[in-house]
Amino acid sequence: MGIIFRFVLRNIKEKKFRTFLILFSITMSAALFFAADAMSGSVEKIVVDRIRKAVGSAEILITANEKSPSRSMSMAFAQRLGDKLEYVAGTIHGSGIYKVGRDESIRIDLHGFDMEELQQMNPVALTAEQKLYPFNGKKIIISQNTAKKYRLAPGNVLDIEIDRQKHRFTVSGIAKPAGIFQEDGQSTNAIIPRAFLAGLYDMEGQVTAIYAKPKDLAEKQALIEQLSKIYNRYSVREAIPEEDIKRNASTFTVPFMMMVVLVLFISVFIIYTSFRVITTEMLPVIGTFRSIGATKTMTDMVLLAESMTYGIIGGALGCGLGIGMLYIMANMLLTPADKAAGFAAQISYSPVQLATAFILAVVLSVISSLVPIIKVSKISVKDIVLNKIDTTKKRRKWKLAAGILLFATVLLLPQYMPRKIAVTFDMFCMVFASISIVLLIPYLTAGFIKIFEKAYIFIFGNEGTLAVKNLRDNKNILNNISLLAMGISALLLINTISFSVFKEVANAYRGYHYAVRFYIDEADREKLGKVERVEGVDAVYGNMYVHDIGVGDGKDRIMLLYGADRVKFNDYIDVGILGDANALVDELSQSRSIIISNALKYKFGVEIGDKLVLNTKTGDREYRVIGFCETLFQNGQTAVIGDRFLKSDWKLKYISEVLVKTDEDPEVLKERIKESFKDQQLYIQTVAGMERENNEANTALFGIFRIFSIMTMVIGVFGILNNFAISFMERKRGLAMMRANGMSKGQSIKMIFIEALTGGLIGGAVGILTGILLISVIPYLLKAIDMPIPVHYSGLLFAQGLIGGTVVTLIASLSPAMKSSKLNIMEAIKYE
Amino acid sequence: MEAIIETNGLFKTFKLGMLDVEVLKDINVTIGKGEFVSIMGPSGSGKSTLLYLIGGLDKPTSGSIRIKGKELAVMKDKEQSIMRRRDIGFVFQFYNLIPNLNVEENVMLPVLLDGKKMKAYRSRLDEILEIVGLSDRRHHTPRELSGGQQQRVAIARALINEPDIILADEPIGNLDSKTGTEVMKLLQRINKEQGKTIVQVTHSREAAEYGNRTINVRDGKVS
Ligand SMILES: Nc1ncnc2c1ncn2[C@@H]1O[C@H](COP(=O)(O)OP(=O)(O)O)[C@@H](O)[C@H]1O
Ligand SMILES: [Mg+2]
Repeated sequence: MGIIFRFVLRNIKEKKFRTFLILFSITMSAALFFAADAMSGSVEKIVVDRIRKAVGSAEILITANEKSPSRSMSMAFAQRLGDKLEYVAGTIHGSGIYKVGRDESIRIDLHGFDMEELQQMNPVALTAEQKLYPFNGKKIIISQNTAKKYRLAPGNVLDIEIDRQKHRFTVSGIAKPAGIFQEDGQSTNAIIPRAFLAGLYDMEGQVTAIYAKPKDLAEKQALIEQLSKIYNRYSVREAIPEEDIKRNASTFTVPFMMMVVLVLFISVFIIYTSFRVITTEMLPVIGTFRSIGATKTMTDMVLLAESMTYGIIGGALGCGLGIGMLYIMANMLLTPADKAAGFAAQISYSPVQLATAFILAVVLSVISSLVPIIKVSKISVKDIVLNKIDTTKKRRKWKLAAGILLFATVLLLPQYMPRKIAVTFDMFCMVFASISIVLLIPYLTAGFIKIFEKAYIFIFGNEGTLAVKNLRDNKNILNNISLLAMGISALLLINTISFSVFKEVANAYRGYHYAVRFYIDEADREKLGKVERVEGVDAVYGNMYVHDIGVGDGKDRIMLLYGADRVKFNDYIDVGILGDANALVDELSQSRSIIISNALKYKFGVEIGDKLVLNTKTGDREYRVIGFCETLFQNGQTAVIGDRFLKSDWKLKYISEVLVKTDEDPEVLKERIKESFKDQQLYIQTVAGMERENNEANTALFGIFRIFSIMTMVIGVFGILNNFAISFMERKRGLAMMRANGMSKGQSIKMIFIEALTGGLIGGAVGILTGILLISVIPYLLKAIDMPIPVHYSGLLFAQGLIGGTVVTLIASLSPAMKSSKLNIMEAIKYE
Repeated sequence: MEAIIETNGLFKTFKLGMLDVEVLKDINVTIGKGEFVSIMGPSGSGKSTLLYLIGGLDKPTSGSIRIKGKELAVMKDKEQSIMRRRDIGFVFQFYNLIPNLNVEENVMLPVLLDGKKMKAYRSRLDEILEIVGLSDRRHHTPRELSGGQQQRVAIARALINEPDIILADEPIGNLDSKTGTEVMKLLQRINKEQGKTIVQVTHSREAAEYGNRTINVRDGKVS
């Protein structure tokens, strides 16, 4: 057996490109699988890091909410649990205006802390300090950034206006950019003594937020419950809402997994076809060995050992590459603000994830090579030795039938899948679609060739006819067409989705019939009036909404619930209400009724007249469904009720956001509004700015998707190169023969190019067909993960696929074309 | 008699790694129009090499080859290719048919390569398939034919463009003696009835008998 192994090893070494191709596709599969798998963990980490910035090591957070009697609370109750808590820290949050110069003033977020508590919870590292302790009175810690920007040094003073009163603070510390001071370039933070703010806001002994860390993390939930009872009118929750973060991250991984499925399929295909060649090459050797007494098991084991070796090497490489890829992907997900805040890409993965990717690689390799190996082991020694093996590819009836059946499944069934199994089923459909195409490709190709045959006589003359004849039932060409089709379809799939999302985002923003929106604390009629008086403001609407509302038992949720003004709502926000929008919104003000999005309709399975039980602040309330709307706000998880009922059931005192119409430049207006509310915390955006930000985030996300799809294509291209190389080896003799019969070098190059052109065109066409088939599943898949985005087909994209596929194939055929013209005719003919 | 093939001071050296192997040494042969010449000699003596050089499938190290009075060395690839299509027909020991083309298509290959319409050659094709006795096999692929039948397809292919010269490298080397005799008789008939010049390489004395002259090659020299 040792000698067979040596033979295998020599083969691996000699067929460098094939070895590379197999390893490459296994490596990529393992890497992409790992990256997609670990991605959700890394996304979680990014989100957790963003939160940790503010909460430090705290695990429990208590803040005021709509039900609370005031914005502040006493720390004393929490401190009584001191034996169970490592620490309790309290902060008073405030804001002030720092007047830098005549025309420039900036808003500063003021964090009132007790220094001792802060150092326990979220330590501040200082680069310089002066008379910091005792931390009381009008001392202030600012960030390095702020210090540099406004040329402030320890000991300097600065005037900050808080609640319309000027206070002169002394810079007592300059902090490194970490924790609270990890600023994102948009906000400016400072720490001042809590006692000072308490005095100013009349909050002696009170804080606006309490942070706590249990001594024993296992007791976290119990402590939260205990604290909830004490602070029963405040919200007591985990500082890091792990469940929510996990849920969000997982909707994110589904599209990645979809790409991985395609990559895995291509790899299986490449390994399978490569092993068919490997086993064919090995046949004579296997025959010889068996004729001198080697058992089937022995020869099978040798071949299996080969595929396992590929799996082990590819798996190991893939794990390494996967970590790198994860790092790059995590980096791409950081927002510009994250980067400004100095966040480095954080990746997180577990050894189990690495092991899974590694095992996947080995299993993938072994399974894919199994069929060719078993086939070879079934051939009798006599047939091998007498070289009686028919290597031509037969078309089999069952393949056609199975292909059509799978095709129909993918095309017809996804729409009927219940939501629970839809994601899994749709993933299977991706695989089914690919398998069906591979099965159908011989038939599709034969059909295309019939068409081309006729046309080519006129276009390319007899070389065209010869080229087309060469394509008939040529398994290398069929493999190329399969690879091209899969690569192109993956590219089309991703690009169509991203194209659709961008288009839909643009559409969604068209539903905002206003130019500027902003949030302001305690927005009421009076403040609305003030906005109306700002120069350039045409009209103002005080929009009200609540987020994340439980429905029924609370498991299903509505992410955004508007309280619509009878008259103004439709003027400002177009949620695409189906039917008479004005009449329906008017009806909302009459009784507890609701208009829900089609996405929610699908999720809840309700019709007009059905009742939905909403978990409101004042208990569960029944709302009657009176209409539907077509919107993508909050991924379509949106509903509308009357503002009267939102106010009463959720006890809303204030307006949620202010929407402003203007004829002027929104950016200019935005600055003006900021100016007139400069002493208040204001979060203001123009609609154009929102759209830009959203597109930026999407660009990052789809950038990652595109890496995946390009990788798929790269694997495909390598596969194609390999096939051309194999094809050339097999055809050497035939080509020499043609040359002996008078084919000139020019003619042989022309013939090979026409073959490539035809293969490319067919591959492109089949790729488009596959792409359309795959894309047809997408709406159902997106719907199942609560992202009901309609698919927009782009003709240009499809044309690019066709041309791209053809160009790739033509380029790949350059080397065989050149080799064919340099062919040593005599050698190729003489030696069998 | 008019000379149709002439070689002058023909040398061929193969480089085998560091080693130079002189396979042909100063070959001077003249073959007249209408001759049926058999090149004989032991295995490895350079017979095939000589035949391929004459057909322009390889280049000599030095010396000249003239086909129908034209010097091969000065012809471009395209001219040589055209010459192979129109003036020369090849028949090889291992038939060398194109596996994915059927009998008709294989026979028509030189016509197709010449950029001519298949239709114009219909009757010629019928005639040739009749001569080689394969009229009823025209749509079969090479795989579905016996060795003798495949060799007859190769001969038909060599004849389709009505070349003046047929070069055959051990045309019956792979056939049993009965089929071999049939093929030799066919070649002989083509030589006699159509006046084609035939040069065959063989190491069988019996096959050489069908020709009218024998050239003996030994150690790369004509003896
Ligand atoms: N392409 C080649 N490279 C190296 N040596 C060759 C090549 N072709 C033929 N030879 C050598 O040239 C000699 C003559 O070969 P060949 O003409 O095929 O002999 P014959 O047909 O008389 O048996 C042999 O020794 C053979 O090994
Ligand atoms: Mg020979």
